[in-house]
Amino acid sequence: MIQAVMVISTLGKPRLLKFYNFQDPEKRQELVLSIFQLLSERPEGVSNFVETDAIFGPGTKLVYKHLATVYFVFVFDNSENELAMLDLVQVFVETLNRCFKNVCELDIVFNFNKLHTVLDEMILGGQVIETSSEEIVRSVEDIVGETIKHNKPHTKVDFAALQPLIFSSHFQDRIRRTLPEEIRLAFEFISSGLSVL
Amino acid sequence: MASSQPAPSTAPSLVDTLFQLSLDDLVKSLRADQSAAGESSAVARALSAIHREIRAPDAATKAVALQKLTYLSSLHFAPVAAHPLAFPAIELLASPHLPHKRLAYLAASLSLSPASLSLLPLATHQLHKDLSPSAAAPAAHHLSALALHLLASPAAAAAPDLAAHLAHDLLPHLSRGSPRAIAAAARVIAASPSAGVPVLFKPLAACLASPDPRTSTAAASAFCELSAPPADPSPFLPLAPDLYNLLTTSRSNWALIKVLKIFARLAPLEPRLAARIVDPVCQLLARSSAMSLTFECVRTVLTALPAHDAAVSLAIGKLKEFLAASDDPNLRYLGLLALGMLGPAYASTVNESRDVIALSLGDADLNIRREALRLMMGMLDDSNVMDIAGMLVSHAARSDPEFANDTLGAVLAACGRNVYELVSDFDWYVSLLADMARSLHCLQGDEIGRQLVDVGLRVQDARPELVQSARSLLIDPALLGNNLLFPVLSAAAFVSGEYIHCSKDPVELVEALLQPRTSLLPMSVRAVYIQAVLKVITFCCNLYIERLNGSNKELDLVFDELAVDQDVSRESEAEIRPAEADQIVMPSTTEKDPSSHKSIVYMINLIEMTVGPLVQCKEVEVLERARNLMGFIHLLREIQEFKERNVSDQKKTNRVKELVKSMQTVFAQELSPVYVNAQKKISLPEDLVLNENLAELADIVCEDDAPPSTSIFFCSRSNPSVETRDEPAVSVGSSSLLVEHRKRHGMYYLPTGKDEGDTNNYPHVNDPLLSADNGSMIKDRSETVQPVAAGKKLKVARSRPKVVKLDGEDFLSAMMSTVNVPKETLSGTGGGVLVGRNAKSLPSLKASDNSSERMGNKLDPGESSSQQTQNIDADIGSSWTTKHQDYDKEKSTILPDSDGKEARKHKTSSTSGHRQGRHKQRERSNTQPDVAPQAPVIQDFLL
Repeated sequence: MIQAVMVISTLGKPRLLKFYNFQDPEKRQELVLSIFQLLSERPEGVSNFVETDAIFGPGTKLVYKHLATVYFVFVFDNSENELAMLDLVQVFVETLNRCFKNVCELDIVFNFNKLHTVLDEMILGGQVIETSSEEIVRSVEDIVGETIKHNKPHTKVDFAALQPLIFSSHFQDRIRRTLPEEIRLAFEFISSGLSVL
Repeated sequence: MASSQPAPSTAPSLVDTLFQLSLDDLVKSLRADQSAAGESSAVARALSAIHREIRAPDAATKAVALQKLTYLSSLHFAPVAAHPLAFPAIELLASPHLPHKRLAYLAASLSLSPASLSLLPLATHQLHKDLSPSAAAPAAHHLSALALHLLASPAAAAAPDLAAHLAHDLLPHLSRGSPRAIAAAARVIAASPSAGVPVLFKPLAACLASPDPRTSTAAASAFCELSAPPADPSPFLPLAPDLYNLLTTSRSNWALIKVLKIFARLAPLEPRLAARIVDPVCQLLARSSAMSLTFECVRTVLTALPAHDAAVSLAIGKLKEFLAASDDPNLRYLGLLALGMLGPAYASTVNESRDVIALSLGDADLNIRREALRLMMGMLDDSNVMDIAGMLVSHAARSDPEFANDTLGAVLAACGRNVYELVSDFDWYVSLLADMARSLHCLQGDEIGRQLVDVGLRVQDARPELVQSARSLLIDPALLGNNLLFPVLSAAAFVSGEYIHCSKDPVELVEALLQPRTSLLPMSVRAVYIQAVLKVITFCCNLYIERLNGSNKELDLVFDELAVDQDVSRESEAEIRPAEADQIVMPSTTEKDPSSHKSIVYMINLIEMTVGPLVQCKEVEVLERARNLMGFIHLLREIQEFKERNVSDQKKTNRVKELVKSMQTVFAQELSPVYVNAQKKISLPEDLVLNENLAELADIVCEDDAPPSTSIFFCSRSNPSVETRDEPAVSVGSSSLLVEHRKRHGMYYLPTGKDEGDTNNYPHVNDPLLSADNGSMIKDRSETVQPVAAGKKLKVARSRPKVVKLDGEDFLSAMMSTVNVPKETLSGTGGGVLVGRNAKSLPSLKASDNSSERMGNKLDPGESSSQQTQNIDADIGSSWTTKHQDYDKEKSTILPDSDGKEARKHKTSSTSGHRQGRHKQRERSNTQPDVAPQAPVIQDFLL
């Protein structure tokens, strides 16, 4: 099974952590740190697997991808195939790319819930339940649309149309850079469901 | 937030609610100050706000607070106690509002811990409701998905009750073939087999045969997970037909990989299975284009179908493709991994790929390097060990420090395995060890040092080369600055002292051991160096005396010169150092004969100059050994004094001979390895009453037995030896302390001569058997010595504490203890071994008894003796004595009734550490029945 999924920035900050076996909250930070140290020592252009017997117990490996400023890390045991896991990391990254249009670290930082939604569509309890990135994106859109509908029952705005704009990283980046108040409003609008408009 | 309910007074105010920070606000505030301090203060501020908000009556405020808390605890490791997070999460599970519900489920599945399990039963009903298909709401499948996620979360896995209650609720979802339900069912079964298996196993098995590929894939994954070790795969054998069907018909690589994994676990259980699956597996192997599936097929064939040659050769073909994938390090890594799975039957295949593997040792990827090293180690046998180990060691010199260390460690472990089973050419191995020690950043110094000593002990034929290698290490002043090498240098010093007879140039060795940079060594290693010098000088003197046996004239010459030197130093105390420095010039550089009198004079002067200052060393080990060495040298000179007093030449010469010979006997006995369990094999004599002190011994024996993996343990210098070396200080202090000490050492150092009568109230273990086993032991001994010389390899692992021998001061017990204890004898004759040792050492004991008696005559605290010792005091040079008066005063004050005269005697006689040793030995050899009468004797001698 898959033991854990992590997204760690190249500065060592965790951006997404999901453990499928119980890990003591106190121990999680140590795990992230040791994984990060392991990965940061590895040069470019080497294999994507690292044995993690010392960190996650005997027989465990991790597969990672280093993209831009983040590491995507999947930890798995000997019930999984190494190359299949490598494909799965690719599926995850592709899915995020579809969801966020050229995903960057900021998208991951600011979309805690959505990231978990994507992951939950792909893996349940350490088992892979979906490997097609189209399917995952469809389910995620469905859930996000549902959320917006629930949060704004009386509004006349077409949220479904607005949603790609709001979730697009370009839009977010632009308003984040230029208009801090507006971005605040925009995020309020999405997350807490105020009828601002 | 849009809640219209008026907030109760206890709840957060409306202002709180209105201006509640969203999760995005929180993320931004955390990012505003990236420093650790700024971040932790932002987290603390946010936490205090959250703790207020989470008590809000309206669900929206609570949900946002919960979301923030989940975020903080998940990614910022905020110290969130499980309880405050769990309760609102469970509260919100019941919310009719789907987004809130979603947040609550996320919080619960991320953060619930076994500590908050007491709350999980509160969620059972809600889970049951969300799982039930009767919920006709449009978002029903979302709800059930959420519930399944929580059911499969790690927290739920720790709550078997929850799984037991909800197992039935999974059935409708399983019959629909939902992959989520299948994965959750696997978790439920794993969490609570007793409740899960009866309800869920059959529906899950039915899913395997489902026409929907998603369902069958999920079911295969589930069974793969359930059959994973440490679980017993045998209950899954009945699924073989369904799995076989899947193997032959499925188009999904995911499903095929999982099925192959299950079959790999089932094949060893059912012999017919392998024959059935080998064809489909080979077909997959031949036609699949997916690397993941190909690799899984290779793995299955190599691990589960090794008997099917056609399949294996097909797999090896694919494996070589992997190895040849120069552009993909992943495939190369997996190829090496698969190569490691090949059984010993296909060792030739691994050997064929040796070039690839050797090349991989230099790969940029640590994984590939490690795997290659592992394979290299697997390939080692006695025919190629020289090639491979030599190649690895030279490779280690070029690789990065970490991997170099791994390599050296692996080589040491492989070559040292089973008492150097693989090594046949020990000259080569010894020089390899020396090469390893010289490689940069070598952290294996301890192991290299251990093996150097061990090889010396076990392999007689390797000793000349060993001494040669040790010499090359010792004479290199550059190595002395490298603290990683200290254990190696220590071992080198030990072997060159111990096997000095193999050395070509003892004089050079003494120079190396006393070179100025040895001051960089830690004290424990310096002590070994000094001890080695003592052995070398003893050896050289003995050689000299043997050579000149009968020709007293020349002998006189040496000691005349020594005496002259002594006179010089006495006369011009202030100029001792420069005078000696001038004198200490090797008479002629071509003079290499260690037994020439010039060499000996040179060495003695060198020792006096360099070791002399160390007798004031604060470190007891160095102090003690330096004093031993200086004492020996001064004794040589002191003998010269007799001549001046017109003692006859013959007598003096005899004394010198006697002295040197008896010192030589100290080191003449060969150290041998002793079987690690030797102690255990000795059966307890029935009449032995174990005193309570022996309980401690039991602990120690247990500790010693703890690492049985190493067949030999070489007693480290630190533990027991320290105690032995402390002896003089302790014994001089108080006779009762001495008795106590003897008692302990009699107990702890089993091989020492504790049955010499100093064991006080302890019974003589072997007395009844003494005469009986006398001869047998000698025979045994000769039998065991034989194979060492003949077969080079000593298979039987033996070790013994060599503490006493290393000390050199306690030579009686050293002789007692240097006896081979063969394994067979131990098991066969049991308690007779100790007896045998007694028997064997009896003659030498007598001899040494005599010699110490004679020495005792010489040193007895009679009129002449005290005079003589005072002379020595004067001779030795004032600095040495005066500096030590502090010590002596301290020692004498410990004694209760020492008057001034006694104290003065004590002062004089205790200046030479080794002489105290002699006194003790003599005293011990006087087989005294009990302690009480012994005490005054000690005082006579020591005070």
